[in-house]
Amino acid sequence: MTGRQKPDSLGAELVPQIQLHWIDYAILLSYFAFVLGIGFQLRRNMRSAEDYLLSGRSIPAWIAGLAFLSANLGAQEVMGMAASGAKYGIATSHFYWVGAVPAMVFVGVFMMPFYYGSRARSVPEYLKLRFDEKTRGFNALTFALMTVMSSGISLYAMGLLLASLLGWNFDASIAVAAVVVLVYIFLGGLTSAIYNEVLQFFLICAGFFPLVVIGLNNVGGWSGLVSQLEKVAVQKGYVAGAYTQAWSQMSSPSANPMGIEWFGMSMGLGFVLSFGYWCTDFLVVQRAMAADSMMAARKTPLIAAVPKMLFPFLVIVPGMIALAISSQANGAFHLPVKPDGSLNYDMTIPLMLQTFFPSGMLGLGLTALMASFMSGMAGNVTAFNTVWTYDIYQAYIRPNQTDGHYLKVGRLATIFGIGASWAAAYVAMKFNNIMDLLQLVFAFVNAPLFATFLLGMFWARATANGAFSGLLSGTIAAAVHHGLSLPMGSQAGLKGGWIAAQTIYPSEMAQNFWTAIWAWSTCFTVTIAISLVTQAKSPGELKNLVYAYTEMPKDPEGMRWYQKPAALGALILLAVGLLNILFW
Amino acid sequence: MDLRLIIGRLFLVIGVLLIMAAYLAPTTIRSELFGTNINLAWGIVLLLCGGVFSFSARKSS
Repeated sequence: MTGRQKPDSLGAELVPQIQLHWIDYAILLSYFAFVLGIGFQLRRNMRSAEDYLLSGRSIPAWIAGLAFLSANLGAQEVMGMAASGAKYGIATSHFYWVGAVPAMVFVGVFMMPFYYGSRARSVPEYLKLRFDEKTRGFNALTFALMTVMSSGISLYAMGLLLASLLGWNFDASIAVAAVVVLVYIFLGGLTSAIYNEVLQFFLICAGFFPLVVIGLNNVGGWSGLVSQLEKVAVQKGYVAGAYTQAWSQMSSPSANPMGIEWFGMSMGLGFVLSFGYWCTDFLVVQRAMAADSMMAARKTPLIAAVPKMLFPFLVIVPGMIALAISSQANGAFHLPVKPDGSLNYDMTIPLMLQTFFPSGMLGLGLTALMASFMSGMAGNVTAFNTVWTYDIYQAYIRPNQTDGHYLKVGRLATIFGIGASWAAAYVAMKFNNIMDLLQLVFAFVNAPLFATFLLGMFWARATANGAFSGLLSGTIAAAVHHGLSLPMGSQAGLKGGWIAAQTIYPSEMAQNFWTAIWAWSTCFTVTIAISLVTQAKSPGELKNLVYAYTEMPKDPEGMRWYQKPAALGALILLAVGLLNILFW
Repeated sequence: MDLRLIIGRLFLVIGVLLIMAAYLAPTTIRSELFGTNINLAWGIVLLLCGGVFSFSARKSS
């Protein structure tokens, strides 16, 4: 295989490669120096497994909050959301304004007291305390698989970026990137990952804000963008507002590019997938559990929610701008076409950087993308090594070993996690929108898990056998639904229909939302049914694990009203409600 | 280790590099927006941000 074959197969060859100047490399190398510097500095502090895997529960609220946000802000989020912006338009903001932000408020106000108060070291460990060992084991295994997949997607995004923009060999790019991330996590563990996630947050803001300003300037401001996208919508057979109105075209799947109606959107994305991800995914919850106090842990998701609700302007709007300018007559900007004829939406952000940024700013934009890739991958790998060490290795393989032994296992798990991610990167290549693949993985793992947590935390009657049966049947339901459905224009296989293509959805996104709805509903129903005929735990065993038997933390006296988690949450919901109305 | 200091220093370094790019890069690859050299304008913004982060870290220490 020659060095050019992989980039060709990715469609990357269709992107004119750019020549980086010394100033771009200088910015990139400066960032790498800081990243490695943080790792080397923190290496001295990694004396125990708890330091390495849990940050010693010593992180202040503002750092934990920005890390909570940034752990999700990997390259697949940045590139994937821009890709979705170009593919689906402003409706992509539902991931933030219907999904993420309300879920973040919920986990901060209602769920964090159980996570933090139970002193569990991980989400699977909470399941062990609340239910039993087999429920923990099942969740630990599926979560480990999911983090490896997510990490692989980050790696794929990075390889794609380097291959297309710089002309590097795709395979070599993936290998080099994996080694860099490996060294960086290996040195500083979770604290290193958290610190770099915060650094990445500011870099992304610094790198993408000018891109939005320049892009909007190019299309004649917001009104110019709306006007151009209305023409695009009409050309594609939709009504004028299909790409610029978030809710108005949700009456039927055929009325919007996402191919979903309001119920599927609200229930599938807004409730099941988003709450499932933000409330139960250990990758993000781990950041809040590393906070230095209960109040800091509760505020962590709330602090994250504030910038989160503004991120559509930073990551989705560039995609919408790309759609507008790619449809201009005589325009020089065009999204590349994959070998199968579909548009390669994943190239939206790299192309935008290439088109609008001069040398210097290009280095900054590229560094921001690299940072998002590295942090996204590091976040998944740090969650993986914690779950592997505590919930699989210590629980089932070699319990009762010394702390030093588990520290060593945590480091080895980091190496294994990176290796498995490398393999997963090649699976991601088969999808033309990496966000769709990610949602599919979430639908299998997080959707049923959210039903388990909802019942586990707020219904004392939920039993261990009920929870395990529910989780298992929810995951099977997701698989069956995926096997019986297929997105329009796709072939049976990895994208679904591998049992029989009984249902054809307008898009992969719509298929994923409904897969999540089936998974959640099945888990919820089966858990209740089995719980009602099996023995529940006693109230003493459920202390600090279930709402009815947990004393909710009181706000300190003298705390101002707007600093209290409940009031802060209400203000955030009000703001996000206004955004929904504004872009209705 | 104060994270604000690290963020501040990184922004200062990048700000300086962008300002250098504004003057040293060939004119053919300079880009202007609203009549302003983007590298220069954004370099100054990052320098200021870096200064605020660094000052904030030093003040609290």
